[in-house]
Amino acid sequence: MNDTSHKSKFVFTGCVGAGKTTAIKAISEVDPISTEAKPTEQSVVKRKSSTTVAMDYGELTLEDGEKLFLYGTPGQRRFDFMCHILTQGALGLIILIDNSHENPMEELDYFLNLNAAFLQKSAAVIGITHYDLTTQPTIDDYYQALEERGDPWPVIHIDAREKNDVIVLLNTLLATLEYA
Amino acid sequence: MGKSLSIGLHLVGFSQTSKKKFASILSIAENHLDYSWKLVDRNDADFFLFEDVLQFEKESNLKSSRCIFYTNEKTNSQGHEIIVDRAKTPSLMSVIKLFNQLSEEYGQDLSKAAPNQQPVKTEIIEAATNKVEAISSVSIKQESHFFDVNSGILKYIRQKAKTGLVISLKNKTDITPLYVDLSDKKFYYRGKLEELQPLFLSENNILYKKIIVSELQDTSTKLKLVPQPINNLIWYAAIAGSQGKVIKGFNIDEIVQLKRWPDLNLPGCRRLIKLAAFMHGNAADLTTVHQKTGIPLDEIINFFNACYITGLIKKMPATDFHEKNLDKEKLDLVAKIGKRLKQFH
Repeated sequence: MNDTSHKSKFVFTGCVGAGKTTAIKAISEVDPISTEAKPTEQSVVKRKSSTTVAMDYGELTLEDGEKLFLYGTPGQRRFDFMCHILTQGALGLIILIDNSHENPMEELDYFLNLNAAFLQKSAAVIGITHYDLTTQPTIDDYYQALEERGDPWPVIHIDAREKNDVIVLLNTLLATLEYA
Repeated sequence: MGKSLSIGLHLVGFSQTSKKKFASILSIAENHLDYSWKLVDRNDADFFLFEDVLQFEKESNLKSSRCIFYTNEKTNSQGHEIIVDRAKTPSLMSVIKLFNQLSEEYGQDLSKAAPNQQPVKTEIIEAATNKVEAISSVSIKQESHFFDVNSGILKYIRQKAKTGLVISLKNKTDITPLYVDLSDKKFYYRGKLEELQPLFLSENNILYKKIIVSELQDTSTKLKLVPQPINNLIWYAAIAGSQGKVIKGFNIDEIVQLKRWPDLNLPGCRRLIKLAAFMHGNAADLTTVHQKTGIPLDEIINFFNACYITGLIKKMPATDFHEKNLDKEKLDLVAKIGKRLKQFH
């Protein structure tokens, strides 16, 4: 697991509390390994009692025994460097945004900018979580923002606890890789 | 005139969802059927409808002449088939046409079995024939080769007005009314959008009642209904009501592309993710989309109509295929991951 350069990997990224750890747990065959600690950043302390500090790890077995690795980046800003390490050689990126966050649009901007170099060569799908708590901004608002940025990524609201929703996210990413 | 003969139909191998869908379509088709078709237990059945042809292969004692099958492609087979889309929703016209054909044949079988009844059967068949002709002429008038967005429920919910509408189906109390606020471009409905499918298939059975906006808002508050964007309703009305017919005024040879992804949470969208991805990344006419993706053309047309009517389509001057830089190894990997994800279902 120390070698994170697997080609068969998806990376989940996004703001704290968006559901990265939860989403990986929802579909991983094995109990995901999470590295957690009490948060130190004030913005995070308000939101969660513990948060990922290095990465989350889960896996799925493909035919012939090949593994698909699922990595989750930490949400705290000081661990942003982990994003660059984890996305090296990744097949695609899943950006999760908590719609109940104070500034979800800014978070979207942030993570798209952070991963801009990776997204020049690969693809992303954007999952909006906690849409049941608030539908503002709307999916249309996210598409509007992406259009202004010139980004073509699909947006879908999901419940990160629901396996079927996470599967739809991954299928959308696969379709984007294959066709779009 | 009441229908004097009732035909029993047993559904074989149907899930609860599929049963409900079929029952909805049958209830709408009722007014256009010569005989009354009822869903019955196996022992009372005259005909058997199979969702999956593999189920038929397990039934050695059933005559194929009494068996009907779901199919998602029009074939020239002599078997009895009902056309369905990928969500296994049967085509209303396909049901009406087949059931009336079978009713006529079944009526003839009855006359062979019980010759004494012949005079009555003749009367019924003549009446039925007249009715078939009457329906045919109405059908020719009503059944266009195109999907007309300026008729039916779409005409009402797309209008610009400062009023509200309460929309319901005649004689169907099990479907709760739909409330539409035309001024605020929102709609309110208690259940899932898919439950409204009968509204989009049955032009003649819909009741529209105008309501002032404040009264609509009071009602929605009292019933604890959450407002949703009217575009979601328009989307679903188009995808459910198109029945494989291209939108009126649109030339199927035109080259089109999606301006942006549709809301993938809308009914019918999740199973068409690949189609959305292809049409977002490539400019092509709909027939070429069908050839490149393998998705049935009528499903592409339904999806296209829904995107077109909600402003997601742009017309393009030329075909443009976006060649992805995925090497064979990555394409194989993508395929393997797709297969693995299917195993979750």
